[in-house]
Amino acid sequence: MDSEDRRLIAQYREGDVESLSTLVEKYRRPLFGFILNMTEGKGDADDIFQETWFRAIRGLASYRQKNFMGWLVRIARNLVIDRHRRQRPGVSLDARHEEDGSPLIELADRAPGPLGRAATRDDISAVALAVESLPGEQKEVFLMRVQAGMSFREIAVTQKVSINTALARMQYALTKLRPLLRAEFENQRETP
Amino acid sequence: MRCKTIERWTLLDRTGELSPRRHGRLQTHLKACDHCRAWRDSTEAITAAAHGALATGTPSEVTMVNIRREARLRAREAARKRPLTLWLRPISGLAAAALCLIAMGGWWMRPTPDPFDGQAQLSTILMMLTEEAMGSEGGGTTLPATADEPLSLDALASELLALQGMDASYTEAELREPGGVPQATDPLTRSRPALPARIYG
Ligand SMILES: [Zn+2]
Repeated sequence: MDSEDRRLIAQYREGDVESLSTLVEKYRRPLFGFILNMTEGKGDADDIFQETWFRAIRGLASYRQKNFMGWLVRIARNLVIDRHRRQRPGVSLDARHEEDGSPLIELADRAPGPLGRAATRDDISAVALAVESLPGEQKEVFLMRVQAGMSFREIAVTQKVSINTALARMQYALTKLRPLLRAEFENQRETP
Repeated sequence: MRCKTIERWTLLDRTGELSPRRHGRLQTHLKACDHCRAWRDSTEAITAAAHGALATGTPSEVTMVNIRREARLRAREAARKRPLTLWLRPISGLAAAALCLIAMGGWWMRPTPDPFDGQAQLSTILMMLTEEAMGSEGGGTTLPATADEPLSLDALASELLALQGMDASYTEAELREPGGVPQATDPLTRSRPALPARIYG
């Protein structure tokens, strides 16, 4: 674990509330970004961000993980899945399978995410739209890696798959993003 | 080395999860393979572009206030529990030690098993009953074997049955007649009237 995180957690355990505020601030953007990209709107993202921290605060007394951000993302991901299940109780979690043969959990990718709903807006970049269009588990791996900065081992633990499956999902995501982004890169090159 | 594997190694190398040995092999492959170099470069470009372009946003101020309030609340709760916990620590240690001592004492004081087997105990019971029977009749009974000369189990069992009035030596008439058969007596407590005199043998 980041030595600063360790120190802040220890100080909070001793009663220093400001240490926790520092932690919340430190991970505010990447965590909220991850949640925002996995949920269906800012209201949902706000709720899940708050509940993630509530659970983290309650769990800090017995916290023993190595990567604090990875832990927060795992809590947030579980909340996203719970919320999604509540919203679509009839959807089977293993009805469909991904290209790599692992069960596909239906995540918010099937519903329009914040980017999907804003697809008509000009201010959303092609990169963000391309990521939005990825299948659920691939999008999740991509976001955990790129946005939350998690290692593949942590991603594998979070998704309860092998490292090879996590790597395969990332490869699929990159393979899908590459042609979508090529056009944008070419446009950028042409633009003086 | 397959390029698909090298692509994975490229990803692991970026997160520092590739072993030094594989890192060396990856570098060697990249020097020689145009495809894998291009794959690595485009991956870097995509992740860099995505990093800047993905929705980030920021939670609402209300959410931030709620989190801070929860943090304060839990910290206060933990602080309330802490002195109690500090007090409880030595007390719980002492309690555990006391329990250990009680358990050890219980083990030490446990009743030692009777060195005699069931047959010897049965013989003792029989002897007591016999003495009683002899006392009431003033002799005339044939003693069963003493505890030092134990009978066979079968013989002892039939003796006991006989003492309790359950043997086959009663006549049919005795059995039919209400109250004709004496009630069985607990040979240990002797809470019921003594058995009528019986002749052994
Ligand atoms: Zn290659």
